[in-house]
Amino acid sequence: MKFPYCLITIVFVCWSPAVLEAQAVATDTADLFANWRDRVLQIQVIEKQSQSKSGIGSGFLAGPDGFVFTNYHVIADLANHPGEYEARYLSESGEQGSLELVNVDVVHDLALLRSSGQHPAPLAIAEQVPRQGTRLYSMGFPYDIGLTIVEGTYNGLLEKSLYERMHFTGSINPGMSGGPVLNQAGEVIGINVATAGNQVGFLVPAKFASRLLQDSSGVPIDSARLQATISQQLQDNQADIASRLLSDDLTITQLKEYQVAGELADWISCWGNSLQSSSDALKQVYYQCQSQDDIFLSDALTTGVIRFQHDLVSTEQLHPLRFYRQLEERNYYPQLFLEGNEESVSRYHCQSGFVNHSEVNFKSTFCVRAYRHLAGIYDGYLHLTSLVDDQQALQSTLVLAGFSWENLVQLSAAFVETISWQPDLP
Amino acid sequence: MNDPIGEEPVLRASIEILNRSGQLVHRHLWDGSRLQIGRALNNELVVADPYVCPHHLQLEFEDGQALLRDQGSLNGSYLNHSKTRLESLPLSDGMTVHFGHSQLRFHSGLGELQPTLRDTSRMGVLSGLGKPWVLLGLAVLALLALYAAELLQDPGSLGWLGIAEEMSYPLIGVVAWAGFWALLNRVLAHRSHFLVHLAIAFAGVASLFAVSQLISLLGFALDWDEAVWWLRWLGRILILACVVFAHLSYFSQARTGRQVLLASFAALLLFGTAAVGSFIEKTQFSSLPWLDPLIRPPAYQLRAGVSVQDFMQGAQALRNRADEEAADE
Repeated sequence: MKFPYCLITIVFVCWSPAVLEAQAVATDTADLFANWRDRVLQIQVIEKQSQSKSGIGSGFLAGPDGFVFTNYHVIADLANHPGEYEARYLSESGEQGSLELVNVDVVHDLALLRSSGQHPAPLAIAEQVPRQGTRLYSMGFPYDIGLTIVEGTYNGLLEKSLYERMHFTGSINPGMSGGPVLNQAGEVIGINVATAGNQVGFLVPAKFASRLLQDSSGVPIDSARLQATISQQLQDNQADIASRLLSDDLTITQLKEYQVAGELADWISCWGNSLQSSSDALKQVYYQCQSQDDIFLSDALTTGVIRFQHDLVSTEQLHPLRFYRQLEERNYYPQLFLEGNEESVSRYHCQSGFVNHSEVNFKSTFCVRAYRHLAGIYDGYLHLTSLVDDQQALQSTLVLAGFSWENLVQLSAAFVETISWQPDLP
Repeated sequence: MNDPIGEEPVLRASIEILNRSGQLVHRHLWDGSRLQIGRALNNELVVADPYVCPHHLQLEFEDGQALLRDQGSLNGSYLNHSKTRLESLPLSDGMTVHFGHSQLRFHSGLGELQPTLRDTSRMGVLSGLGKPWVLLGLAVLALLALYAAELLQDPGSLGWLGIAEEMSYPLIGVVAWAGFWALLNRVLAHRSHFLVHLAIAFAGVASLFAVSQLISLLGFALDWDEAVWWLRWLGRILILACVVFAHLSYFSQARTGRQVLLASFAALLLFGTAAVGSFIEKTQFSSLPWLDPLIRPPAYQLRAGVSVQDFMQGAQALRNRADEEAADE
């Protein structure tokens, strides 16, 4: 099942290892907090007309020249509407200043900003991943109530995650997104990004911050270059996902007499059940799968998602005309659908028709919508109803978000090709 | 019409009495001799209107001029829509005087004789609609259509009683529809013919269901999903136009062309606006795909399916449309 995590918000660390050498290893949490508190900043996204905060998160100083790291989702409004928003920082000591966007990594939810103000030496980014169980310290500004340090432990990388995440057992709360998670030496191990509650937190590994820094020119990025960068990152990411899925035969699972796409990768998890209402003449066995993570682009749009569902619907009482009419009504699976508004995506454009594969006839509907500002990126929706039996039918739905046209078509076709019907099975 | 027997009349004029709806109820040839008009039977022209006095008006022909005189009536007499009570009025051709709830129209000649009205309720195909067995047959068809429609919607949870309850709502609508036309019939042509209008409404319901199902079935069989939305609305509009035309032709004296025009206008107003609303909803932005594939039992599939590759290749047009829309700011 998908983690019911929510994105949070925070900042970054000192870049130069030389600086670290000057700092003594903290002996307890209080020392660590005292040593590094001035490297952690609150990031505020300000709506220009009202000059009021539209969102807050945390960030930290890292790298040369006053670079500040935070999560992309903290400054998404600024990235999407640069004319309407601006970013500022507020230090724990009350110093304020403006920030300019330098680079983003939307796949790993990171943003790099730059401040022209005077700041203390930045935090260093750790080169080694800690051992499981290592004590770590998350810092940030939860709920806008002031700088906080939270003790927790590192519990390894998430095994079933499409986008690499660290598991941090500690309390991360809204407002801490983008804040650093330090080891006892004060090195950045990860960046706060999300929480599932109950002390289950998720971090972006610090290596992605290093990579983002290396890929940045250091000068503020304009809107056109930003969109091109995001577009390229999504293209690279979807190409990677598609090649991972298409390199081998797709995993098959058995749903009574049908073979269907199953747990296609370790980052896709599936579950199922059967349903029959006492007042309903339909019996349903369903099998639902989805990727564990998504990519935040804006409040209205997330992408980088694969979801699918198979429903084996049967009846013993209904006449075929009534049964198939019920199947016609069962097109909508709200849990599978994607978000999106008019500003970010086009409408869906759909076609329906009969498709024949492996001696199974399907009534198929395929819909596609294109992303505005991110040319060549699409969301796809495929819905199939098998037409082979008067009292039983398979309905399969595939939702793909953030793929190139070629991969959308290839993955959809591969999904259909996994389906076969073996009526002789007991 | 024959002239009065005796001397050559000094005048050949006609008087028409109309009721408050403007319908002609009496025509009288006036030869110029004094003419008493009122509710009493000893008048030359008796008007059965309770708002008219026993002796309300008098017409005379003096010095070559027709003259109307009010006889001191309770409710008075008025020229056209004037609010000034008349005492006497020289009449000229076409003049209308309101008295009581009636009207008097003066023609200096014999006036134009309108052609005899056809009693359309006794002619043509529709005249048989009032027969009990026809009404019963159409009622059974309509009930079957409503029952089938509810049955198709129901996943098996309603039962007989539930389906009967669901059917009752459209049935109330059908009766109200027939009632509306019966009322119009009563106002415009004296009789309501409720059962005839009910029969027309039943026929309409049965036709709507049958045509809608046929279009959907054909759409599925021949893989015409995209045309079905248009065909369904076209079918609904055409059937409604036919139903309205049937109602109208039962009592309207208007020419057939006008009735067709009026029926088409009414159908477009009712279903055409609904179709436009549905189209706007369909084309408006939504984060959900507009999904309405036709799905019927395998036995009804008449066209063979294409391969997955061909189906996806055909989707290239969708990509182009989505790209165009995304590029459009």
